[in-house]
Amino acid sequence: MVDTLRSLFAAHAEDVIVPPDLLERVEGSARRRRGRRRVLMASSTAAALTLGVLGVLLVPGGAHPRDTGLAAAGAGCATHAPQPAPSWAAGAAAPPAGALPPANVLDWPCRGLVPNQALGAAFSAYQADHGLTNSQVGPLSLLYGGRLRLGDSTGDVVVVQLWSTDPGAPASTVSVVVSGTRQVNPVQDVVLPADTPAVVRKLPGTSTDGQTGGDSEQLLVVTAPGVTSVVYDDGHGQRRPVPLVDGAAIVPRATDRADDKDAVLVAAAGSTTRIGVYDQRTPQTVVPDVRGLRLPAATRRLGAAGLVTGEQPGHLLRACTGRRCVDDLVAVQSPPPGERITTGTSVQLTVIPGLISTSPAPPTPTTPYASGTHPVADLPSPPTTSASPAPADALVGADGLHDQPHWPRRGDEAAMRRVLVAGERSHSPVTASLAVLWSGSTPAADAVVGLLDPPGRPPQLAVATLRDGAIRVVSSHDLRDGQRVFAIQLPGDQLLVLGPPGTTEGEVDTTDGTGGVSPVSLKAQDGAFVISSGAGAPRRVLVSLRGGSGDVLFVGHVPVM
Amino acid sequence: MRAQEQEDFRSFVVHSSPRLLRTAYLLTGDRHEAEDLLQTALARLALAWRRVQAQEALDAYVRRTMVNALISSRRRRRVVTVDAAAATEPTAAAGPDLEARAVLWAALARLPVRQRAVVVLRYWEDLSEAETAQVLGTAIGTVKSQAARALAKLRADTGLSELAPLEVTR
Repeated sequence: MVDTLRSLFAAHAEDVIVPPDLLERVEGSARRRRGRRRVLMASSTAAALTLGVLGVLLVPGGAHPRDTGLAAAGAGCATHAPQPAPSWAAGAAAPPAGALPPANVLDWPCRGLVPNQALGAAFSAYQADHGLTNSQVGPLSLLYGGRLRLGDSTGDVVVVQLWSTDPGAPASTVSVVVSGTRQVNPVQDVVLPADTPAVVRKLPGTSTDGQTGGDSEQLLVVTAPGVTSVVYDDGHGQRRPVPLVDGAAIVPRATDRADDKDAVLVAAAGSTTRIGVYDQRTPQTVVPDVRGLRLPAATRRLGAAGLVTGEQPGHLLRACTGRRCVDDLVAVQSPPPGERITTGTSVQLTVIPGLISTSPAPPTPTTPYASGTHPVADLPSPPTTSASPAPADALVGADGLHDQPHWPRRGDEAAMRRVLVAGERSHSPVTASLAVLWSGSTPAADAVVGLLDPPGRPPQLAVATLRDGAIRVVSSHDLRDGQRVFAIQLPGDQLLVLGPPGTTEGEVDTTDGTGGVSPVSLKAQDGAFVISSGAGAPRRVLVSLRGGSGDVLFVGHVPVM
Repeated sequence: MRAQEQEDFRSFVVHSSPRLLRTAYLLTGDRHEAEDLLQTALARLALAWRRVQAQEALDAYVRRTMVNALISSRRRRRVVTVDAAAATEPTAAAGPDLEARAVLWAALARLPVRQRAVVVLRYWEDLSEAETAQVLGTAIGTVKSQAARALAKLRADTGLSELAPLEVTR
């Protein structure tokens, strides 16, 4: 097996070629990182000075060394034994890149007394669960700590928020219960929205056999500042108020509660929020619409809904990943807006990298495309003469629609052959650059596209049919200045996408980013794709095109003509 | 970075990137992701060049950064993409070796990222268990168990335990 693996690795690895611009990309990335680091260090120094003063004023007992941010700014949680940072906090010395807290950090005062042992356990559990090193975990936010009666024994409980130093990574709310040296309820790791009114955690209770760690019989409720009351609902309509002590409460669950229906009602600022306690299933949330937002804003909105930002699998459309995407727009999301999914689930995002290599800007997702159908005189069968070379724009990739060897001879062959390759044909009053479309090895006889240049009118892209050797224009569309990518609906549920000259590969998403369908990834035939458009013609498609050198030539929405 | 350091860094990138990119590709299974991963690791190396150059092997630093970054990104993404083209290309040509290779490649893509990293570091980079443990920041025992689990899973997924080594065409 090992030899097999080695040979497999060797076979695959030999095909890998280093891109010629790798060094350039690396140095550019390093420059950007260095710049961000300087900004972060400057801002974190200023923040540290501010918070340091606050910490002295508000936390006479001394906040935990890792408690560098929000908890210190609140009422403060004393630790059992304030002391130098434990070994797991060694990474705190260097200012991490993610020192700025995520958008969903709960800016609450810390309640209770935080046991160092449980805090360390929470940190370690989060680290292990997420596969992070010390330096990859950002400062934490303490929410609650205490030594509680859990059934027949006593256990240390801590609720903290932790996050990685990756920009945009949401904060996970982690709760750990430690009884002696044994974790009886290791980690409940969820991403909560920043406006959540309370954190509700099931605590181990006494099960029927009398052993600690059995069915959950009590709830720990930690509330946001401003919460005025908490009520427990057993799911059958029986409710009882729960007294809050320093913003937190231990709530015994009803023994005859309705399965998956008991809840905690939290009242604050005139509104009441119901937080269900789920024994069997996980809570659900509605996917918000983040399309058109920049990535940080989209991440914040997803975080506020309790969701995690993921990435869209694919090739070209994921050309921008990670930190390079920071300034770019979300074009596609999956699952789509409005769908109910489990809290904490990843929403896959496709980000338009904005790497347009030439001047024409792609149409923005929200800009309707001004297209229309205009009457244009039918073209007679083209003559054999060619007036002049076609302008570059007129090629639109159609020069790749080469002759095919198995084209059946037909009466109009002469006419057809003269328009096989894009070129200019002049017929008063119009000039057309024409191409015949192919489907496999045979021409799609009814499908012809041409770039028309009628005098006194803007250039137009025409969709035409071949009838008896004559070309009959069925529709035409005004072209935008500089437009270089076209999507044309053809008969037979086919979609033609023409890219600029030099396009060698691309992806086309016919769902316009509204569905969870992966883009169609194809090798271009010199800039042209013919794909199935599926049932129901799309109004526009999301197209990403790349040239032979790997440069992204175009990414954006293209209206379907 | 001083001029001489910059020159040294560039020289390192030029000479080491082919080998490191192969490792990245085997770790990710996707050429584009491999390029991104290597770019990220090399950019971090550039920032830490002076310290790393003085303290440890540069290759080891880049490998460790790549593995950590990959684990981090996979955790965020929670969707493992398989380079479908790479997985299916070999099957286009008839032949038991190529088909078996495609099956194994697909099975490799299904491994958890840490197990895949262990397999790649051990059997492609030929690192020792101790070196692998150092790259992954874990114990030697963990490396042993992860490798054993990965191989067991690959055997179970592919039924390749009885096959002879695949022939490599160079």
